[in-house]
Amino acid sequence: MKTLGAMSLMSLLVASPATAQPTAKGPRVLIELTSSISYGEPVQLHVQVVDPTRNTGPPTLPPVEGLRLAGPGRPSVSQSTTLVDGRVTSQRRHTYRFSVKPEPGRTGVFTVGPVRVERSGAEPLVSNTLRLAVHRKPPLGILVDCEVTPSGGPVGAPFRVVYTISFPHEGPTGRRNGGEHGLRNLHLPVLEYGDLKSTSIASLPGVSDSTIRLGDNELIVQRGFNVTESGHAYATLVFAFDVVPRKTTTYELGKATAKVELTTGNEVRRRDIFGRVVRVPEKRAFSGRSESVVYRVHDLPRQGQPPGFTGAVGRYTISVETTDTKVRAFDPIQLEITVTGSGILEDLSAPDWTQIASLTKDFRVNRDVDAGEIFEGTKIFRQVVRALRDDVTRIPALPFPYYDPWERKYRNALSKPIPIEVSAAHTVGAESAIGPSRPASPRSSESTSPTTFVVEESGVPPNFQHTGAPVPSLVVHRRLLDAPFLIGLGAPPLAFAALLLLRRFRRKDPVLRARGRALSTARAALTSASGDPEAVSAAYQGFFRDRFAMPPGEITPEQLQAVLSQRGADTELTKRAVDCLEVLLAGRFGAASRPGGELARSAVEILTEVERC
Amino acid sequence: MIRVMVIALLTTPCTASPTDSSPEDHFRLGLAKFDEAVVHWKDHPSDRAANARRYRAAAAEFVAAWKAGLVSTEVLTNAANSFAFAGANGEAVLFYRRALAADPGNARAREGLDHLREKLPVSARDETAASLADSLLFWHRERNFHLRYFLGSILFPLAWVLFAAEILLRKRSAWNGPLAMLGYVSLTVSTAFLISLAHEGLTKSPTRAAVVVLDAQGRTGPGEQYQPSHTQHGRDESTLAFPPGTEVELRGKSENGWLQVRLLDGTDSWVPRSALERVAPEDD
Repeated sequence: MKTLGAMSLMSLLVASPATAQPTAKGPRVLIELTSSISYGEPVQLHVQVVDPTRNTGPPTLPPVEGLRLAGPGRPSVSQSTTLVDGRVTSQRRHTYRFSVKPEPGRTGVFTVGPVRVERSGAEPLVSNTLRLAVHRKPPLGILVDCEVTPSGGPVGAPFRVVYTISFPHEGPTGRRNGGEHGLRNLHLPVLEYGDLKSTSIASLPGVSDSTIRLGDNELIVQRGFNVTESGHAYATLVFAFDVVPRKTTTYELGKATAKVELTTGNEVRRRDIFGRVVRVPEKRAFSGRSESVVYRVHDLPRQGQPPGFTGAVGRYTISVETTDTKVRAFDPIQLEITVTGSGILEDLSAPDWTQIASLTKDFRVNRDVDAGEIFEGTKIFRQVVRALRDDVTRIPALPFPYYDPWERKYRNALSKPIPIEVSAAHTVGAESAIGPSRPASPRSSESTSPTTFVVEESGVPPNFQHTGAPVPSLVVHRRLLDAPFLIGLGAPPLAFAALLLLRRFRRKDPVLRARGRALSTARAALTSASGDPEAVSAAYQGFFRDRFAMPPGEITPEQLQAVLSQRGADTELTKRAVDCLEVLLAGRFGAASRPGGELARSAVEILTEVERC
Repeated sequence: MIRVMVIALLTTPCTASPTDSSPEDHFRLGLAKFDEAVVHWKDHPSDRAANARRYRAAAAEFVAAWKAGLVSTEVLTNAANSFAFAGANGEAVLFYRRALAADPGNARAREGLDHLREKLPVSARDETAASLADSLLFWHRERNFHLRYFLGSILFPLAWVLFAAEILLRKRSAWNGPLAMLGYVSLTVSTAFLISLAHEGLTKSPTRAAVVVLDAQGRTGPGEQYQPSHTQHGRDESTLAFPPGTEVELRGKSENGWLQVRLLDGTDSWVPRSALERVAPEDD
């Protein structure tokens, strides 16, 4: 039963594609241009009739003045089936193609469509319209332009620099043409000045951007499109910067350079890796350089400079906090002053508080200058003040004077006053003269050793409890040049090389080689002699000839005795060797007293002993 | 001037310590004084001047042990620790560097040095690309210099002995026998050790290294008449750019007692000789 149920389910699943239904949207017509821009060359208009019925006719395209329209030809038919979440849909498409070619010399924006598809007995299908921009094709090459606005301003006042690189629309599009966006040798002078704080930005509204690396900088680049007054259309790469100058001088921001490789529209012959001649688009490198553009930075105006001004330029707000709101007179009050704004926080200095009369009237201001620290887009200064009397009831609103470059005038940001309670001063004793100490650390458990305790508190490693092995010198690497060390390293490979050379020499000298192999050769010959007295005798004599470099020819017992005696062999071994030779020689003539096999074994024993001695 | 005298006293402690004490006695005394200083610091955390004096006294004992001939990375590390607790960053960095010169594999000294470097304005540049050898020999820092030296000088000859034994015993050039295999292993390990030692000797030699022990203003040329070469970030020019503990590499010298140095961030400057102390003393 279960099997039957499973089979029914399977058949349902398998059968389900057959129940696929056309989409519920019904017949419709879609149009698409292969390019929305033309430089005079034809572009194709694709017309797709979706889910046509039998009564659907071919599409018709209304004429457009200034454009030559041709088509449609025979449609190409396609069908697609999609399965999404178990739901199957299928769609048929008839695709027609029209050729759309601008008439020579005509430029402008043309509206193509709507395409109309007649249906007998039903409303015709009508598409949307498309726009085709026809431009003049620019000359081959690139243009580099630099724009600086405004042309000058005070120190710290931001300005904008925009570099635009223009090239024909079919110019480089990818890394394969040389670097990111096809750019090579890109040089933007605004990045060369260390005292300019430059921030790369996207300046073209509504245009997508990407980033590229130029040296250590990550720059935002936007791909734009620009039509000149002459009707030439260029694709553009735009690099824009918000720049803040830090010193009074004149900056040359023009003379930006770039190089790109463009296809010329011609073809050249090349050989591929198999040696075949192929035609490839011709490419040429083009360079461009912008005109000289200068930005002049002048000093801030002296007139109207507020007291305490220390050079802040931008727009700022200030807030002051303190936890010391109940103090005695002359007790230190630690103020935390937070400045937030649009200028260069790194260059921001605390105002000269000693010049702020509203503060110095009731407080003694510590003259220590705090450089401040930057934290999450704000700069925090710390300042110690001491109330001069016990009738002081608040810390006044503290000003932060700055120059607003947009309004071109000085302004003061003000904090909110902080109410405090000041009681009468107490007499200062000797113990109070000690400066503010670091907060006492929480004590660790008693079992922790003092050294460990310190380590945990400060990050300094623990002491060694033993002296360690002394070294002869602090420059331990001098030991690498010690003669024994160098000899120890150099001698083994040299000795090994000498050994290899010696072996090679021995291998090439036939006498030495024969001497080295005398015993093994003789053993092999004796084994294969199979008791043949002639062969045993030859092998036996062969050993002595090889081993002692004796002349060729038969060896007599007298010669063997002389050689062995000369080499220091003991008398008994000499006698046995000579006897063996005599027996072997006699055996060759049929006078052997022992069988050949026994003689061979005896010969091997004697030869082995001779080899040993 | 007072600081110069203090440093002179600390770096020549033999004159201040009993001459009949052995280096080991100085070492033990240093440990005892250090522990006393820690206890005092725990009990009187606000008495900073007295705490610093006690830690300096401990440092003086360790320095005396070193000067008396006990040149070991442990003694130098303890001296550096004591200076660090005394707040003498210049001397602390100097002795950590000396401890690392005696044994580049001393992890404690490296930890202490890294800790102090975080407080200094001149930080080391990113050496990712600068030292390919460092990347390849990443493991060598973890090994003691003496261990690498010992193993290198033993395994390297052993490798050749094994090769020789292979061809002598087997009577032919068999480069794939068991002895030859052992030889390859020995040769690979020992060569790696030796390369790492040579690389360290070439790139991190303490003979050209020095540490600023007195606040100094770096100049663009050899003399006070030149412009400051560096300013501390966010501070005005009256703040001296090189606080004690700033590490430099000696590049040259002038006749008027100024030294050309290169900082950890790769920038160059000139500083007066009196502000510097060499990591490896000239008589070493």
